[in-house]
Amino acid sequence: MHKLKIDLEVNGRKISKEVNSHYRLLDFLREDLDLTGSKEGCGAGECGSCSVFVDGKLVKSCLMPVAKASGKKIETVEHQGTPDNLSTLQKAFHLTGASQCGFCIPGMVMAATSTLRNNPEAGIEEIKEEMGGNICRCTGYQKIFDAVELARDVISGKLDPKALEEYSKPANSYLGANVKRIDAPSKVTGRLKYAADMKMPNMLHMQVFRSSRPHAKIIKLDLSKAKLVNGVEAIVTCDDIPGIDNFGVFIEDQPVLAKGKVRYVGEAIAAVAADTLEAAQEAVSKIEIEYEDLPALFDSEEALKDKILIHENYKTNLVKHIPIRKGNIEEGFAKANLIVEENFSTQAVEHAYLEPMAGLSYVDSDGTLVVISPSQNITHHRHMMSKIMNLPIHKVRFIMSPVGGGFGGKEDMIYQGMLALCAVKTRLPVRYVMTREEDITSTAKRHPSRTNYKIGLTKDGKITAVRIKMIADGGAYGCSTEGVMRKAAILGAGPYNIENLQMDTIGVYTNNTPSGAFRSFGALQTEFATESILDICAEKLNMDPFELRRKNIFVAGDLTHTKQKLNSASIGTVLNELEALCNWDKGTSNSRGDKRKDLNSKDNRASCFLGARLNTKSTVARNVK
Amino acid sequence: MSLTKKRGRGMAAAWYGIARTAAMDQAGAWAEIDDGGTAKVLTGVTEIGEGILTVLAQVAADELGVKPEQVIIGDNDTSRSPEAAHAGATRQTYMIGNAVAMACRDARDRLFKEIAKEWNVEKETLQAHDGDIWANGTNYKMSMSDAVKICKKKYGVIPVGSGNYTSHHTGLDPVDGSGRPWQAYVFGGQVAEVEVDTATGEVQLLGIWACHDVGKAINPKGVEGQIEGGVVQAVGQALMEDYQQVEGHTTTGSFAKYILPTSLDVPRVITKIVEDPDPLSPLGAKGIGEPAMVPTAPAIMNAIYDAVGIRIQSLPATPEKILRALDEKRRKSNGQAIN
Amino acid sequence: MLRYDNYFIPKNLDEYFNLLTEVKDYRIVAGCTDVLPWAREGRAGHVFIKNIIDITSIKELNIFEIHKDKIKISATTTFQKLFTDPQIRKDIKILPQVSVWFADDQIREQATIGGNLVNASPAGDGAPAFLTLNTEVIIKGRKDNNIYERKVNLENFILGRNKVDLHDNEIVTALEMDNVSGYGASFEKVGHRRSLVISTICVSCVLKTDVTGKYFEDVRIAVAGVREVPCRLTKTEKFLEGKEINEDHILQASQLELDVINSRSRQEYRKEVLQNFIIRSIIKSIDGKVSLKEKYFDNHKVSITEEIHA
Repeated sequence: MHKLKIDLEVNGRKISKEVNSHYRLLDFLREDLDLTGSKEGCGAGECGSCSVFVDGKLVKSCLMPVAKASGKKIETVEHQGTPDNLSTLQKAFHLTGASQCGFCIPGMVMAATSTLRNNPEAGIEEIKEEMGGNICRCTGYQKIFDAVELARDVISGKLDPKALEEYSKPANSYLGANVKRIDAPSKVTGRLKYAADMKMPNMLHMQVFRSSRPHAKIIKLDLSKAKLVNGVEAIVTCDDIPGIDNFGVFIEDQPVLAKGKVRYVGEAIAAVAADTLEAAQEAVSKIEIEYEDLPALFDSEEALKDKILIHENYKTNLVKHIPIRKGNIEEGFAKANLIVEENFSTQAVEHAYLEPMAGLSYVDSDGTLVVISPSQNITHHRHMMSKIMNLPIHKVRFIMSPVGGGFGGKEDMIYQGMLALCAVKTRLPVRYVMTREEDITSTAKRHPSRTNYKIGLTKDGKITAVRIKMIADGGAYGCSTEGVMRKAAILGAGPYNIENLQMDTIGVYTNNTPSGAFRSFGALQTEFATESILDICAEKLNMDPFELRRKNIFVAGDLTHTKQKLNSASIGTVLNELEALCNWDKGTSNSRGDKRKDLNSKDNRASCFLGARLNTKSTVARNVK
Repeated sequence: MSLTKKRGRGMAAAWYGIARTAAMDQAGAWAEIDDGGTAKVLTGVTEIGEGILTVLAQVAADELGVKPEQVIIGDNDTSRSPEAAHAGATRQTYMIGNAVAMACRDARDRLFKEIAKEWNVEKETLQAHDGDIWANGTNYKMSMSDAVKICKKKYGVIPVGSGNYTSHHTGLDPVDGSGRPWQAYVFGGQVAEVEVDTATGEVQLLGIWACHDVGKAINPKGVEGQIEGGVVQAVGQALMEDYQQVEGHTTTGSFAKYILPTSLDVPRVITKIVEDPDPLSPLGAKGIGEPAMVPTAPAIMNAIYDAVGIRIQSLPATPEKILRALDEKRRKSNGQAIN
Repeated sequence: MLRYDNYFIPKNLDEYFNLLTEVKDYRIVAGCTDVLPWAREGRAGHVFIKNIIDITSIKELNIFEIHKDKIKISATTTFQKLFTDPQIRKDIKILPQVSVWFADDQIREQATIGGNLVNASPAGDGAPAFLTLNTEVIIKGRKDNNIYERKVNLENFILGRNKVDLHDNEIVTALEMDNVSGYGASFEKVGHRRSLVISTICVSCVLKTDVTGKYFEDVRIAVAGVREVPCRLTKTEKFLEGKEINEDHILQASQLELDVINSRSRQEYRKEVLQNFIIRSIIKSIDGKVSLKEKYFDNHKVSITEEIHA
């Protein structure tokens, strides 16, 4: 690999080093200087987790070739403060609860620092604009803004620095106290090491060869040229699995590496472990494969016909059907004065946790297989791994690395199997870091859904019957489809006492990206349909939407859709509080719009007009170093 | 053809079940009251950003009588910590919070037994909070740090404890789905206020009012943070995110094509926490992680309908979909045919 | 990933032109904010180029001249500078508006206006604004050891999708454009969110009213995202020039060139938004000199719809 020499200053230290010429500033900081506070959330300048100061200007270091940084002064998050000596901004982040998973936070701290340096009097609109290049997936940004405004006011003297320390607490209890997050100091200072930040001596780098076909038999896999690449230590395929090769959250239908066929574009086929990332990538590019394309299924309804089977041994593409039957819906509809039937659909959604999947694996000094990864379920992963690697369960150790966002996306054991395989085969530590693109295209998504909904109500708004049928595209492997269908069914008709209910949720295999666990797990899809159709019904019945809900909500003692007796149901209180909280103007859902009396509350944010800094005097005097 | 921006509001209700669905759920924990009146807690907790570590520190602090900042929570490691199962199903505060409470009570019990001996009082008179321990109805008081020293050095007892929490759920009947999938349920509702730009179809979400029952809010700021984050994830699904594939190939394979909400796209979220404690668990706390995002999308679609009279029934409600729907509505009202 | 062996940063034009003759397999870069995202999975994938030549330190490109009629700025001017420079903010009001809609602050610190124009993306935001400023692209080349210069009007510089009138041995050194001090301006853009926005369609309007403030005098409107290349709406401009500023004229103007739409996708949407953007940008550029009623345009929905869907 070609090198170049750079001289620059990083966090006040003069550095003179030979670096890989193709490195970006981000790679140099993370790999050569071990300043892992700046993260690679996407590598394409879209997320801001790599923000650093270069000669006083905040830039995205994943977009700067290292040579460009030569002769410049670099400032990273590590320079802003330490866990025991936080900067004012970092203290503010700590107090307001601005850091959740923490992965975006170093970038946010840098963007906030830049904002207040540029304009110590920045208002909320200016703050939002200057932080518009940094994405957060956990916090919704609100507490980050609160932190920046708090820091601004403390720095300017408007608020006492004590405002950064004290949190509210009930008199004799820590329950109900706004205790500051104990994991925040390590996160706001960029000191916490996530899996991709970890290094071990003699560590190899793993890269994965993935399917370019949605449904195909693997006729021939030729690793010969790949094996010749300098630095390659091992290439593993399904043939290297010592134990029972399958995993999955509900059904274990997914092989660690494709076995004989591939079922979706992006499915892992082989994994390479080499002494450098570049060598591993080169080896992957030299793997040759011959496919025999099979007819593929991309539509759930088509897949249900079972004309083409995705998992032959299951004899059907139906993953799971959850039925709920309560009362008699024919009778229910017969009693209705109003019947509404509508169709709804929701799309596949990407988790977009800021931390792309990553992990390390090694074999311990006593022969224990160790896997370090941001897994949401190390307990279950260990079970599956012990069976896959044919090791007794106590000889498999899963350590959870700090999770940079999960939302259900890190529940599948989608790469730990091949990582462990490489570690066992080479007897060296192996690290794997997914690129953002790899993560988006090869890991599970939220189930896209199509729901047909029929509801009957009396003219007073009492629901007499509900019939819901939801079909969800489960993609190539089961993942959490069964659980998602179950939850969608149990909760889907909403918090309403419905005597006559017919609910069917159906999860199907297709050759699309697998669908899996995603925060709110099926309930989001079905309750979306319910709350939308109730709004339609409210209009037709000339009722206020809150009133329509009140006519139907559960009270203590009611039976749920699965005939469980509720010992308490706070939905009545919740609706009352909600109505008061937003000062709701009572009325029908008949597009009152501007005629409403509750609009333009001071609680809202202002509509974004992208020009907060174009009009204020202070921004004209903006001081850019 | 239209230039004006129109505002409107919509609401939606929601409910959710806490912990593993239709299957027994369980979590274990170990606790030790340590030198200096600090504490160690070990459990299979998976902090994914929701704030569970802090919640557990608060629970431990409350049960043991120390400060949350003095509670050390061990790493989640299958070879080092007891099983507490996974991060998901909005289960950690409920399952692990309660398991940690049980473990702490066990450890505290061990300590209290020795201190009761030391002061010659009934164990039930003892109370500890915020670093001090005292016997009600007497003048006896000392720091937790001293209490631990006495317990260990004088009486030879290490105040360790263990605990388990079980949530009894049943499976569902395969025919009619009946069963008790959860012990605890939570309820919520949200109101959305939107501004629709009828010139471009762009929807700006200006405000979300969110009211959620969480049983007991152990860290209210943490609950707010979950609601704010959940709402924004739902905003993404409602208005701009769309994972697309063509013949099985992803066309939205990067953050340039897969559009996430930025700081300029998010509403101000106003939260009201309702507490309807769970009667079956030690702490009464339920959960918020997932329920926070269930009512958001329909509230937004209902608000769009209120603002401009069109209903989007297929997510996401992109500017193109909005303008197309507005156009169809206009032509319908003009009696024109729609292509 | 972008892989390369050598990264050259020439300090002057001679060094630059020498490099072009010395190395084979090279790519010219400026801010790198386009090339690095391009060399990734899903787009160009892994790309190996032996040599990268970075032009951002060439001293002859250090140009920033504000004259009464024209301004001339370096091709390596960053988009952020268009936002922060006090003179540009005062006199060339369209440019800071373009800037604030462009990516985000951090990318703007690196992204160059020259790089953006040379990239010639059909959705690129820079071009429409520069078109409304009658920009000339100043190009330097070296032939037989002599450095020459040529100027090309931006309209003729952009030849097609990602294609420009620039030969292998040439470099864009600067942009020269009208100093539109006193003109009103408005930049309209829509995508799917409000930051890091990839444009579906954008419109740039720069205009001057006559001394009375009641008539259009000089109108420049350009659009991107509707066809392979961004373009001026010359029919629209000519229609307005000299006419009284009123709702009816603006409405008529907005419908004159809808056949400009020739995008690969979402034509209906772009057509409707283009009309609305033309009207909105004109109203904003008039900046209150004449009071115009937005409601007028809402009320004329019927005729417009018939027009589009005929």
